[in-house]
Amino acid sequence: MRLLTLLLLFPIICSAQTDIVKLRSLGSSDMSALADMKDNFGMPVMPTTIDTVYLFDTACLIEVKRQGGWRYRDTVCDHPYLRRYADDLSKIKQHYSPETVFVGFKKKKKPSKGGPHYFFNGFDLSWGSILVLLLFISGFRFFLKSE
Amino acid sequence: MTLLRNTIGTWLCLSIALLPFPYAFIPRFGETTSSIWLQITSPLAHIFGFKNATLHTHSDSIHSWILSVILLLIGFVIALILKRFDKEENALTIIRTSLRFFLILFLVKYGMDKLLMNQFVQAEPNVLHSKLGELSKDVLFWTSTGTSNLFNYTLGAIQLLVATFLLFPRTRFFGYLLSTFVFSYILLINLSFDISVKLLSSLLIISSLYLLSFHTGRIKALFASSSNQFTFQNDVRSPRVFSMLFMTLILLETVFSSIAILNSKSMAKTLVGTYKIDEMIAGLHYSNLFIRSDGFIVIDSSEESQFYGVSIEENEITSPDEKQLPFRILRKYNSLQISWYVDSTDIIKNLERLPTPKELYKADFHLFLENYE
Repeated sequence: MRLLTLLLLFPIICSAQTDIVKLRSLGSSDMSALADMKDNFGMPVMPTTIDTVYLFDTACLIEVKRQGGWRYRDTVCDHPYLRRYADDLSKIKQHYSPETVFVGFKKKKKPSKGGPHYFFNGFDLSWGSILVLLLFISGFRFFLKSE
Repeated sequence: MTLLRNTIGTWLCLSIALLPFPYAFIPRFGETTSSIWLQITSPLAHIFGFKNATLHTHSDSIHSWILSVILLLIGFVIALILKRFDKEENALTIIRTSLRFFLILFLVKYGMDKLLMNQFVQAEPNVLHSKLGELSKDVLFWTSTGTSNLFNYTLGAIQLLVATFLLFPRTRFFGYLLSTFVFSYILLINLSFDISVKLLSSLLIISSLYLLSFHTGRIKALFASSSNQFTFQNDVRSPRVFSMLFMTLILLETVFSSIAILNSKSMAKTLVGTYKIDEMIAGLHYSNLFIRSDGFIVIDSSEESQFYGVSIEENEITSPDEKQLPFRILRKYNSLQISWYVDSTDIIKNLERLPTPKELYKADFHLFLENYE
């Protein structure tokens, strides 16, 4: 039976704090940890779900994430899971939610050397972008009107 | 005067739009462009004397303050171009409308989160078990504010009310006065308790004052003699399609973020709490283990406390990142065990769950002194 896993990494569950308040509330005075945190401006953290995980020959995982109405891709090379479960890739799946779709997990991959490398691959075009584009166009049309 | 107004207005619009704010629906221009801006702000930070600082792109970072100064210069250049092409008045109307909707956006977002009790949440177990004198001012403020539903509901309702006043031309001036008051209060809190949202709250109060500056006649009327009394008057007419699109964006942003956050509340939190370890492991005395609702655990030892981002599985709590836990944490339903390896044997100990301090979250209210216990 598939293990029921709750991935409780920090962006997943709702809690509102500024990044500094959060770090201090964890009992840490090491501000270098801020580099791994996202600033929420005191707003609650929106849960992030991972829709799809792709595995490629370069031993990098591409995680397609969703946060609110946003969908974006993160590439993680030499992912800790890849190193830990290099011999049995099916175990990586246990760390994601049952709804996550996995692509390219059948072949055995070679993990790369060195620490994990993270790449941000950008956002998908969303309705928000289209609305902002329309906003710009309508603003520009008004701007061009003769005074 | 129009050149100055266009400069400040453009600067405010650009500064607010380029903040790396975690929107749920609106495009995150700030987040996506921060790495580009960092290429400019990093060398400038060196010139200004921040030679050894690691620059972050977070709120109130050196990067964000330098970026704000750069955007002021860009605002001035744009204002000069507008003057050259004689488009100052049209641009000013767009700037005023945009800033008004930015104020509405932040009032609605922060107001809704207070009404839903999402902004100042209940303190995590490790904070509840800390000594008061060990907490920093910002953590203490955040914790104590989260203890009062009345305070959160009232402030949230006021923020939504001010946003409503800003919507309608007849109540807009009153809305600008109230938003100046609300954002002054927020800026005062951020400065007094060292909360790192100072840049955003400064931009919002400057925006309120900027929009209020177009109504100097009415401000004078407020303090004038009875023959020149204050009356509700229509504000400048905003472009209709532009306003409707902006309002749609705000509504969708609020709906998406509220749904996303309400969904997250259904996750199981049965393990959240404080567990007593009280064991010597590898020469260190481990006292308590705290499981937080945000997916972190904190372990108190005789040396210092350490935190780990964790993944809670069916049988075990593991750390998925590089930082390894000092011992194995085994899970059996809602109870925990720790396991460590000594002389070729695994030693397992059940962890005692400590009660959560309840005093802070009692719904106490005393109208009469005699009712205090």
